[in-house]
Amino acid sequence: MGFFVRFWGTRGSIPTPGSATRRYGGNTACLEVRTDDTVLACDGGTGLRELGLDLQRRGHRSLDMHLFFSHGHWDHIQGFPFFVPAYSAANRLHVYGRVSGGRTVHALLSGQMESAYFPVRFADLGAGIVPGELTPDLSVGGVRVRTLEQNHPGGSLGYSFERDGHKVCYCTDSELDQQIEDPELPARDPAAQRSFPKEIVDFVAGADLLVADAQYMDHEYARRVGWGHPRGSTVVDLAAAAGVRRLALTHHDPMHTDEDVEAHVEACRERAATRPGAPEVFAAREWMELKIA
Amino acid sequence: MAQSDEKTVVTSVKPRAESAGSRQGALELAAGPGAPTTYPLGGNRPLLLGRDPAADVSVASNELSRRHCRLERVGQDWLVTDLGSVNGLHLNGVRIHSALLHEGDRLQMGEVLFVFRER
Repeated sequence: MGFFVRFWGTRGSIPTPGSATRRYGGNTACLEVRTDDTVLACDGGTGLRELGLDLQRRGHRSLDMHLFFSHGHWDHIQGFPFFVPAYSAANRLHVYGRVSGGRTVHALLSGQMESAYFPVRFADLGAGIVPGELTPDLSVGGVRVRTLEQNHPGGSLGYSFERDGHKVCYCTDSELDQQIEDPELPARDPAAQRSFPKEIVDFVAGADLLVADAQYMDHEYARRVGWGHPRGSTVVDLAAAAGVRRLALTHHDPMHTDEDVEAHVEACRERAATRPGAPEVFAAREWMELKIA
Repeated sequence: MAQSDEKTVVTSVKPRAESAGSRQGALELAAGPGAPTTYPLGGNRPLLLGRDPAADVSVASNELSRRHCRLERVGQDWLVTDLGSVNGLHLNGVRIHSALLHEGDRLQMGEVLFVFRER
């Protein structure tokens, strides 16, 4: 048992098709988390379109699927109108999330399909689209789902999924650097271990896999403070402190080429190597699938 | 049919019809029994890689499972999927279940190392 996890969209902010991003991918955020009998997905960036096409290839005729949105920014919802399973009356899509301004995710998804933005009306989608409630004891197909409020303009949610002793966390669009307990530490001693509030460490503690936003290299961050994304080095420190086994860096910066992503990962690996209980660190890339068992 | 020079053996899986415009690929066996050998990939049916002599890409290593992984077309690309092997499938050092392959990707299976080439 356990999970299969596949990356369908690993890019942050805006799709970046082209030869410079081919290896790690240019689609925006989407992660599939699957058990033997349940399909979950995190976020509906343009990668969600690819997931929909693959579900068709797999021959799914009647889906009862659960979609968890971290927040409502474009790069996390834009794929939804192109998600083929949403057009079939045989399917039910449960949508979860919280967005700023008191709106529901359901309202956000329908709003982006108003005629000024998109030719097909939300009401004309064939699938049953069901607002889901993020209750503290939510369980979907035997998967325990928990959430964490994160630091991002307008807010965002991190998710953890647990089943049969296995744990996968998805924490994107989270400016962890704003939550370091000693905010001056990185400038004073960049190599020193950064520490975080217990709530954050506990949320990802012991995860078999943490899929985490790590958009910025250290030298890039100073000019992007407050944009809602962390340094990769800070994410490495969280993963090490929390005893995470594997850390997948995602939400790649749209300005980063494949070579940049590899350089970023290498720097993060070097930092992880200096930490006790260091996690395995790698870059999420589209179509990469991991078995968590 | 195989061709060889001093350093490299080029062998071929059974020839089959190619779809028009499809991109080919190749696996270079860089380490393990029989290295160096290049296996051109082609056609549209899934290919089996393993220790089984009947596999499309067969390497006589005890660290390979008989049916170690499958290679199949997804559009213009090649998707590799672990078939429940004992020693696993590592892409550029990361244990995976499956992945699309790109130029220069290293696929490690125990002592056996392939490098994927786009053609």
